[in-house]
Amino acid sequence: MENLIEELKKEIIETLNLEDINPSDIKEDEPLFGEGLGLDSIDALELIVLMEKNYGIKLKDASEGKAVFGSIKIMADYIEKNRTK
Amino acid sequence: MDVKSDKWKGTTGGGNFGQKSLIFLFKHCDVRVGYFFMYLSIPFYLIFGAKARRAIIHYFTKVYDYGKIKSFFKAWKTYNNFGKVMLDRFSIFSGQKSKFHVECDGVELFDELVKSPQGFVLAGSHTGNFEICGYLLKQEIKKIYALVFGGESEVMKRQRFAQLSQNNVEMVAVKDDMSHLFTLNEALENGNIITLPADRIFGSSKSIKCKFGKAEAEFPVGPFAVAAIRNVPVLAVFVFKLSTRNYKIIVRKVECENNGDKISTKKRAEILAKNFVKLLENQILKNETQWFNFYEFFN
Repeated sequence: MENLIEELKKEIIETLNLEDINPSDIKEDEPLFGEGLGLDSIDALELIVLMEKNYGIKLKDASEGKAVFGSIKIMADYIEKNRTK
Repeated sequence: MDVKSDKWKGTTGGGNFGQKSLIFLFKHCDVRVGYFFMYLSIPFYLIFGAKARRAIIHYFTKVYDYGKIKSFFKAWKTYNNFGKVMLDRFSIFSGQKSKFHVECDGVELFDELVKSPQGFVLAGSHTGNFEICGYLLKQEIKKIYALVFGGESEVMKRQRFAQLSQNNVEMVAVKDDMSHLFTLNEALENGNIITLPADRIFGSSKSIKCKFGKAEAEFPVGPFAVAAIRNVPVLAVFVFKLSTRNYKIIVRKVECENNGDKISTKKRAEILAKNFVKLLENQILKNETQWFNFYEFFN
């Protein structure tokens, strides 16, 4: 799980081009949207596609997405349970 | 996403009663009767809509370097044109669709992509009457998902739905829960078309500063990020009013030159955004009173 969290942090930074952020800056329980990392709707779309391409997970709807993108920890937990890649 | 903080609310004026009255009027009268009454109301908007008036005058003083008096008259002309395209919409809603005609330039680019299995993006703008494409043109190969603001009146929503659903177009409202992103993503994945306005920042705050005429402004990157993420082509669509019953639809490919290098999604989106702005600038400078951005765009 720890490895997956680290891997995810790096992937998010790379995919979203978060130039000024290091993996250590992202707290595991911090919300990804709004107050936490401050990601927006386009970033959400990038994360949806990242989940699909890298882990073979297709999120069904917005409510599922909102829950999954709650924090890095929640995201990693969801990936671990549902990944097909 | 914080939709509430958007500067542009995306609503049509008049309210339900006013809009219903217009539809009723145009069932019995020519649209030019509406134009006549609209001319009378323009001074009201110019006098009491100070914020929008200032914004549109600034557009002329900054982008074209016109003097204040000339800019004021250009603003008046812009209000007139805007009023006309709005009334044309209601005329179409009232069943007068067959009275309007469109001529197309570059539509073969659209036809070509429609026949390919890949999905694509139509980048629209608030020039002339973009919505009229959906009312007057029909294709049955791919479904078009049109991103719209959710704040329109019930009359507008109902009328738009009635017109667009006949032409294989489905409206997707921008929502706080980001459900529209799932719909757009799936549409592109299934080889369909999405269309969204690309000349106003809403939803995502991602933007890029571009030169436009003699000024600079922030333009949205979001619509192009959607295309870049799924790596699909983008067409720019501009619609201008030529005369009372005639419109012209101009379609251009938004290029994404990369010189053979692998580029990031962000870079690709920025290149597309910049190239779209160049196409928009080219069209707007020829049709200066048909860009309906009634808020401070050029800071």
